[in-house]
Amino acid sequence: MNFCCRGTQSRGILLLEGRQDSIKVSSSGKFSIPRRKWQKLLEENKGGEIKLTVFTKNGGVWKKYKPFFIVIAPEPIDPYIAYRLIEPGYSAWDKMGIYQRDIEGYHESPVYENRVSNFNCVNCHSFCMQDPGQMLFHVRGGPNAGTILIKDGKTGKLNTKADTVHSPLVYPSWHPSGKYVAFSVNKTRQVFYANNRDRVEVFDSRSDVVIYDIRKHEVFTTPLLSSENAFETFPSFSPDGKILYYCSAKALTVPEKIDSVKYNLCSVSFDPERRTFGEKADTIYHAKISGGSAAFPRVSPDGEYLLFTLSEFGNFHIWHKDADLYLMDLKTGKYVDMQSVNSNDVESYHSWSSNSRWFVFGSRRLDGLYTRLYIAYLDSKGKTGKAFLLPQKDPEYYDRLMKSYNIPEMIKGKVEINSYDIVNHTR
Amino acid sequence: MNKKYIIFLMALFTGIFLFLQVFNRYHFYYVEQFQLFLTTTAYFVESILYPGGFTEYTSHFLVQLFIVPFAGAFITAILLSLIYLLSDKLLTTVNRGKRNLIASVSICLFHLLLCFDYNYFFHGIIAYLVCIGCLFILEVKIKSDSKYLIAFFLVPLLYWFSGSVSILFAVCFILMNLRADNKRKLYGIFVLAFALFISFISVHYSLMSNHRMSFLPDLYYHPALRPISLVYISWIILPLWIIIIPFLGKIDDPKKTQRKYFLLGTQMLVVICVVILCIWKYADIGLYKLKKLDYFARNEQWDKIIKICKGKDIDNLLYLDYQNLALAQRDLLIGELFNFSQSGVYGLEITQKDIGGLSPLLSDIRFYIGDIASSQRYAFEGNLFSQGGSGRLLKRLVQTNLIFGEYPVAEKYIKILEHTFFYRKWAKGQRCFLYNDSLCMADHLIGAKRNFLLSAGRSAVINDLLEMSRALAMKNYKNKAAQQYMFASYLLQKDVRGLTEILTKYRGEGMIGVLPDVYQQALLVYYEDLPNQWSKEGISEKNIQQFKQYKLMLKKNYKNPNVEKIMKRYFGSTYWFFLHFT
Repeated sequence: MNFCCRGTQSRGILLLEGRQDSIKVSSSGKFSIPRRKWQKLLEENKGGEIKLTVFTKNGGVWKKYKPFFIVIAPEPIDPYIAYRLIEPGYSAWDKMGIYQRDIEGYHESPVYENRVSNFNCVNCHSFCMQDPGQMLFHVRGGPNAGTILIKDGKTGKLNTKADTVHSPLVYPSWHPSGKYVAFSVNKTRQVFYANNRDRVEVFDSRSDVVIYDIRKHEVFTTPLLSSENAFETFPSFSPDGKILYYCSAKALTVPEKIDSVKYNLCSVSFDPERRTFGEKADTIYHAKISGGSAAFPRVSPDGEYLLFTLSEFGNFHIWHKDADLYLMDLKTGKYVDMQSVNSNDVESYHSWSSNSRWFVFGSRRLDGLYTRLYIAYLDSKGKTGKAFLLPQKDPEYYDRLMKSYNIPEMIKGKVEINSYDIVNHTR
Repeated sequence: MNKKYIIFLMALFTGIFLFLQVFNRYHFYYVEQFQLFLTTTAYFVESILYPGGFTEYTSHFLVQLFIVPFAGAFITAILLSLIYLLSDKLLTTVNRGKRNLIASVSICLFHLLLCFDYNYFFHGIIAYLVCIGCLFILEVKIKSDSKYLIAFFLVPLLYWFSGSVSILFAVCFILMNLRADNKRKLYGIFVLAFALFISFISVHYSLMSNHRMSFLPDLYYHPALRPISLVYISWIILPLWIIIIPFLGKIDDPKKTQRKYFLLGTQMLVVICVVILCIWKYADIGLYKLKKLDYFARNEQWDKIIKICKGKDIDNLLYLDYQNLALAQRDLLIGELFNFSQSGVYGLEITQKDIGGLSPLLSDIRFYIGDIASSQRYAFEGNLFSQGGSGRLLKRLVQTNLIFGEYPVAEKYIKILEHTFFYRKWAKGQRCFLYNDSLCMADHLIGAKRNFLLSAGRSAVINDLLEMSRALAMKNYKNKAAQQYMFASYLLQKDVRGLTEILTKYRGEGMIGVLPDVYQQALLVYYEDLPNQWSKEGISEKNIQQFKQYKLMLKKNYKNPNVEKIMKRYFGSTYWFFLHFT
């Protein structure tokens, strides 16, 4: 939790006080908290709080700032977050990759970097139930192009060129059994605004949801998920694998009517043994009635909460400054207060920790353009804690980082394969 | 080193410096704008995390100085002279004390030619220098058997500091010790084996992206491209000379003075011929002119661009883009349009395919007409493709974000530039605009551009220059820049009807007085069959008479194979000539 006092390079002292112990940290601008002492302090104060007091010396005069508190949750968080790092916007890219960050420390290591494969695009990384040993991601272009699957220590490519699909498979969601992956097939375009704070608009002119059977290498779907009159997208399996959540909007001409494209949040039952779907879809969130347009439904692993993003229209909410996170209690249908999580800028793409107590999401609240990761806590009573920025060893790291964090996914451990192995196995 | 040698070195340095300064000076400015050196510890640490990072860091430090006049040629001349000096010492050692001018000069020469290739990174030259520097220390200075042990430990250090050049080092080391006994030859083989192992393992653990980068000089070339053969030759030539030189026999024999000078002279002649041939083949003269125009555009020296282009037959669209931007900046685009070469609407803005190196130009054009969103986009993507950032494009990003009122993002870019030597002053000067709308509006650049923005909303940027400039010109009649490009687009697209309609609209708004000649010429074409309309449209008698003469001459020479030349002589700067012959 290293941090600095903005606007001052003067000497400072940070005092961290727990129930029993305390840490004193000196600095000349940046407070670098010793890791072991910090972890010990956290351990001793689980379920309680730590008081932090900052003192700075400027021109020979000491100043004491009003103390603030950090609440220490009793439950741990998954130790790693995987994400893509890419420049935010437009249509070009250069170096990018999928990385994993040890959030118990500061170390970030690459899972796959595109410099090993001619700087092509990598995207859509996804894990089965936060398991680092079961993941897939997409590589576009070049000899390694395809959907790369890492499962049970083996690396391979999915055969996803099914005749029924009109576009590449994107937005994966694993079935908890590991036997299926739900994808969306989208015809996506983007336009750039001449004068709009949102800068870019990304939209689908066509989209459907399909399920890929990993064992049989088959793609199947249902008319409910692949209607000509609707855009279906963002599939997400429930933790028990019996429900598939997705977003659906009435198909309209885009981009002309883009601001009228509003996605409902729907669900349909799924029988994994028979590979069949229910006959009717339920509407969890009705865009027309409630206003707004839903995206990225994610059910917590304990099945109790549904987290999704809402914006005025469309589905590519990272470019909508009004986008916020919404959390629904699935037992009662009521919404949890998210004031301590949302900001007046973009909040989007989120994922849960395996114990359902934490979630990570992307937000542009720091400068309005570069997406940074924020972590928030949800207690067993359904109350959220204040979201906090993913810490870095150098608190000024984000000032110079020219890439955005994309698709943060919490995982229970480290992904043990490296880029070289992936390239070799998938050529 | 004796006096003669020092004089020769000085002459070589001076020759290289003058050559680069005269024939390649704008290349250095061009290279400098596509990389960024930051004065932070974090930048240093992040740079040296990968093999070759230290040399790359050094290179970035030196390249930032290229923005200073003469610095690029000076620094490069020093490095190339050092390459000559060290390779000369090495090869003299190989040749048992006998100097071979052509060998050392050729090594220096090939690296000199690489300086003309924009895709070859400067740190390739530094890495090469480090390599032969290490060889020099081991073979010339140390000489004892401890050099084998030192070489063994030097290999991983060299790899980490300078990259794949460690392979070249190991190969040259083993070749230089070929005449040693078997035990020492074996030590040399160990050194090479270790170098190969390190390169291999580096790829396996993803420290290097692939084997090409880890073993070959490809590391010092643009990663998306295959290096030209010259890059490989620059590597091969040193080990080749190490092998060949012992077989060449005595050259510098003080007893046979005449023969000595004859051979020396012949060598120099061969070197000069090879230099000329290689320059002709490898130095892209066309690209050099582009870099020159880009330099003047960057520094807003529009008159110099106009002077370069005036009276020339130019068909290169990029040159025309610069030319027309300069004319527009001087408010001469319409008045002087056909007094300069034109080649259609892409002479106003080239069709963008690979943005990369074109991004400053495209960003400048769109910024000029007030299409700030596109300007921002090109600057953003160009910055993405540069070596760690581009000072020029980051400046543009600061400006565009200030214009849009996106202060936090502008501040981010300002902070980055404040950590540079040559952009910090400018960046500090922009801080006053942050979070200060009134100051922004009062600024002649930010305020004006903000006023010219299209209304906030969901209007998309239009890629087509004519459509975009028309939208901007219609939104605000005071936007002369957009107006110029709009009218020029109509003329160059030969859309006489569209031009007439727009002129009618402008006249209706009272926004245009006496029509420039080129508009009148276009109107004459449109109303050719309606002579009653001519005076109503404000067409002068002078233009009417000239039009008649044009038609007469055209009719008279229509079947003449030289009709274009004839018409050009009398009417080359008229719209009619452009309409019919371009």
